[in-house]
Amino acid sequence: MEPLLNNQRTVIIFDGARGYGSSFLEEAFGGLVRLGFNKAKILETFEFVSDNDPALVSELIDYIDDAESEG
Amino acid sequence: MKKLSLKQKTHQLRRSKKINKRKFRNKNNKKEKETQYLPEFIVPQTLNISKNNSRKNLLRLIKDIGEHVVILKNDICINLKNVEQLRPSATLLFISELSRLIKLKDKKVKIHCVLPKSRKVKQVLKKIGLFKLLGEKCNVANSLADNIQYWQFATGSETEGEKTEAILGKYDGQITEALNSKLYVGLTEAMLNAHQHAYMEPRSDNLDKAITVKSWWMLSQEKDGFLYVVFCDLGIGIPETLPMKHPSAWQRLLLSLLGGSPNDSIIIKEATALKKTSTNKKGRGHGLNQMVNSITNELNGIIRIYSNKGMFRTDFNGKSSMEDFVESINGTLIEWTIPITRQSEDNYESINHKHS
Repeated sequence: MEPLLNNQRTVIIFDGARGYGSSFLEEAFGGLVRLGFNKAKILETFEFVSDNDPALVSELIDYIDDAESEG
Repeated sequence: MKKLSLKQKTHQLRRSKKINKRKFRNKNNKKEKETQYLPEFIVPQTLNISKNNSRKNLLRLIKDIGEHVVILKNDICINLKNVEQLRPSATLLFISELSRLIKLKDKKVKIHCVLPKSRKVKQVLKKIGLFKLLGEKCNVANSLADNIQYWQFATGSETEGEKTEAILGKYDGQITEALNSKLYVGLTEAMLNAHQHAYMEPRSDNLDKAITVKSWWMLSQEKDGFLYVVFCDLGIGIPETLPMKHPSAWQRLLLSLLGGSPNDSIIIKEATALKKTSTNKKGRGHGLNQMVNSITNELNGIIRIYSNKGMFRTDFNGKSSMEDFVESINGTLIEWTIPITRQSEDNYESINHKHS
């Protein structure tokens, strides 16, 4: 959350871990929307890198979209 | 010192053999005397929860052990002499239940154990830590045989991704990254579910008095080209948590049954279909749904979910089946069966490409 509060462009690299559960991704990124940050702000602040599993980035963006539509 | 004659040497040898034999007999007799008058619980020959009879025998045994050890506070003896076959799900349930009872019982209550006759069973149970759990010495040598060394076990109480290393670490470089990753995700989702949902209320066996044991347990076995990974929690079960956590899904289910009461297996099936998001896109569901889809569809696997009295099974062809048993396991067991082929480094990359 700190990069969002400080307007600090941050790269999140997902490669190198065994995997990410959907619950974790939803809570981590959908959770930012629930804390009051909109999609534009989140995408402006974070650059997501996932070379091993490119689908992961579109998945977490969907969680952001879902959280916005639920909000 | 005078040198012994051959006759004297022979006599000394025979004498020392007799002394050792007597010591060994006395040691066993002492142990037999200690356990002779204790309530004895004979573990069935086959540990299996997928057939009503063997399931009933195992669950009743566990229930009786719990009553004696936790409520009556009796020392007991668990007799493993006859055990010959260990199915992964039932074995994990058995060790999980014993682990829980040991945490719940009074420290003064002792659980003694008669070791299995079968050497293989001894080796497997030693490998997965049962004897250590019971404080029982088992001198059988560790085995590197495939049917023994690939049994792995881990336990925890939170979402501890690093604990999957006990199972997945063994397969690094030997199975595809995709499989490894999907299993990791499935297991951590299961841990999260256990941590967040399973222990919402005390277990129905009423043994949780001062404390509730909120642990999870997992086990893996590799046999005949298949990897079996089993995850267990001893919570209230999916049939109890679904109505609480997903009331609208519960209402839909009740309406679809036109007022009838759903069996546990139907509730489990309903739970696997739940997606928290409204996108309805494939693989986008959470928890149970993700566990089912990623492992079965993408890795040609089979998943069986046992929860309370129900069992729901589905495979990569989309075929599913359900069954309800007489006895409840009072918790949830998830068993993945996945075909694996151990690869040499040369063709590891090509298999990796095939599965991803």
